[in-house]
Amino acid sequence: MDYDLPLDHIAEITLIGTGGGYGESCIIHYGLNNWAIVDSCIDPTTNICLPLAYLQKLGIDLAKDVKFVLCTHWHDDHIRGLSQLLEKCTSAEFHFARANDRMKFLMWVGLDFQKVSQDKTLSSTKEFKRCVDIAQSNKIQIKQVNADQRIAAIQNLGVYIYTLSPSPATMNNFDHEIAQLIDNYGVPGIKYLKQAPNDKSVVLFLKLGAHVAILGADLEVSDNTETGWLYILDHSTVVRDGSVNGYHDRIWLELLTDSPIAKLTPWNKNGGLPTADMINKYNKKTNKLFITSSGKERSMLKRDKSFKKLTEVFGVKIKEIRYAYGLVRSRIDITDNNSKWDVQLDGESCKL
Amino acid sequence: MLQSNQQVRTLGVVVLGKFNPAIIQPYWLSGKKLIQESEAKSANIEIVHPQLTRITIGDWLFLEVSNERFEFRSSQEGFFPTMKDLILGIFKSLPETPISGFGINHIMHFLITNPQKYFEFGNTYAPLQSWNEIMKEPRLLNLHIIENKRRDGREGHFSLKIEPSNLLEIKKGVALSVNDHIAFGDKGDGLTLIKNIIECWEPSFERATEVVDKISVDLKY
Amino acid sequence: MKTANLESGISPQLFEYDSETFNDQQIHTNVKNILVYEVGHRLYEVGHRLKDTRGQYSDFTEVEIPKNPFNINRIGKNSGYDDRNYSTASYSWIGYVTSINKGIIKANLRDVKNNSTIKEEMEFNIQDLDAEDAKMVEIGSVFYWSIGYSFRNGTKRKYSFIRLKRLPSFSDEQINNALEWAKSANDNLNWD
Repeated sequence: MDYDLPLDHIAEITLIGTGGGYGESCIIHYGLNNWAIVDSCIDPTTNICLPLAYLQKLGIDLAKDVKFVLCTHWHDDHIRGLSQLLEKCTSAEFHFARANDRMKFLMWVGLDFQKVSQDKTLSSTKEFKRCVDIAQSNKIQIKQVNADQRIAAIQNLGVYIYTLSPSPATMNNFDHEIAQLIDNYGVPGIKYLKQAPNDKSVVLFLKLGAHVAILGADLEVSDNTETGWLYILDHSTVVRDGSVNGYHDRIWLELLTDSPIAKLTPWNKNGGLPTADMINKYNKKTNKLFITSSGKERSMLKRDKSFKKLTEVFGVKIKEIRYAYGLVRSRIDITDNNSKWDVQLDGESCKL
Repeated sequence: MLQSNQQVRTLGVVVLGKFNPAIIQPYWLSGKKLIQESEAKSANIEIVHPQLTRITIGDWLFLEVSNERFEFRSSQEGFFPTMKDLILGIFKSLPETPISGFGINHIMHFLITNPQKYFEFGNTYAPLQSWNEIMKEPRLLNLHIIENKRRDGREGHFSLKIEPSNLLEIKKGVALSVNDHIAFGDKGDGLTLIKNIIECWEPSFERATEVVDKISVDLKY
Repeated sequence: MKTANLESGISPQLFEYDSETFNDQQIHTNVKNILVYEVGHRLYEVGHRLKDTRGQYSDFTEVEIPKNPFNINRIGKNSGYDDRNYSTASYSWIGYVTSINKGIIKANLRDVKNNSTIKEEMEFNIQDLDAEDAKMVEIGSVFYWSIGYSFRNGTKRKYSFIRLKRLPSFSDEQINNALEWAKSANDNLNWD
């Protein structure tokens, strides 16, 4: 794959995955050298921020050309390395989902961070907290986002970027959740895990001239029509992860064209997602389905011979959450209505 | 590497300050959810008294508390992080306890079956030829080296001692004791201790490893 | 009346013994059960209890060092702790529970012995936990897992244990730190 800069009128959406354990990221060029980064991921062996490395390889001017950095969810697993990006992209805005009670949300992040002094494993929002610290010291513009907001535009190109979530009901629920988390704060030795269904995720809708794209993050479908994808389908005007609950027929019927390009990242839950069943469902909707790394059977991390014997004796199953770098890049001419997406792959990414 | 010869590792943490030994009882610890209730029930209490408390929790922790000294000790390597949590937990419950300092002691016993290698432990760090004139076959019994100023700039000292092991069944064993001591003066309290334990715990282990690595290289293990 | 304090750094040996006392008329009154500890070659008294005619001991009080103790018996044995009963951890992890389903616990792990940044996932039976930990465990619970070899009375055995991390509730200082940070961010960030 060539690491060349796209021309001014060429849009790019690049999905980077790490195999389901170390984050994922989407890099957008929406025309005229305007870039945006959604979430972040790292190579765990080097701690290098992967979207940052990609942009540096392209040779863009990070301090000038990155217009916003969006955090779709503040849990560490979504945004590893985001603080490295924020440090370099000094003129970028920092976007994240709105919390109605801002002070309460920050208090919770602050409390969660106190756990780091006991052990870094205990905290789930270290990266977000670091981002807030950088935003404070570098006076970065913050933008809190919710459904149906326009967050970027290049009008003469017909480029608009909108948020589709989180819904008002989601934001209210989140306030209650934060209050509960703060009440339970005193319980030691417990790590906050992202709750399912994840309806706090920020979904983006990109209008790129005559072309459209949806960045689904890991928004899910639940029974509640006021949250998640059902809210978007019913109330609002496919680059998403392989979540079991991220699939709904209506998304394909109402929001997407026939046989769109669909990109997935694997997710480390329930034995590994997407499942074969999910992939079959997607394949019925499109023949242009890509994934950043295929779900190879997880195996034990290589250690010395005695290790396997010891684990067998105690009946414990242990497998590596393998780091698997994969990149799916698609580019299209914003100014040509008949242009087709050109997809390039790198790392372990493949077509399904 | 010398590490492959390591047989026993004992970790001791000694806190110096002013204590009331009588309150350190197994049920006090379990009441604060710092140990399991079953551990409290089966703890071996040697004595609990205003001047001295000595108890053993399970087979993994020995506690001895006097009015000026609070010692934690374990030879169960898997429990070292649990010991750290217990120390933090106890002093979080006693935040105003006057503390003047603490020491993390790593005692590692190595099996050295090769007599020549055993001799070299002493001879490398304190060459013995100069004693040949007045002693027959001189051997080093123990060696104690102290750092003049701590490398990290904190008050206290860092020292290491090399001596024959008293634990290993086979006679040719060497005990390496690394003492990592931090002093607070008279302004320290439980919260000071917690902060320093958190900051110094991992670096202390890293330094102990550094010592072992150095000896590995010096003695060509 | 004062008793001597332990000299720091010296391990005491504890003794318990009986000593008779006599009143002013040299009449035998009761038996003292005295607790002393020996440091070096000196005996220091911890305290004593008086035994009444019904054989009941009173509460402990501190006393002067007795001059002529007899029948010295060591208290219990030693504490039971012995450095020669030890274990070596071949592998150690810290983990957190991600799901609990029909008695099977799934967790993500980090190898702390090698300070690895690669995550691992494990599956184990809730019965592998101690009964108390099994009652406490929930999604997000953080635990230590260690496997290796234990040496007890000269016998070598494999071991594996999983133990929930136990920490006290957070302090006022930590809560205040969090509050200050939140206030500072709320006041100073460049909000839209």
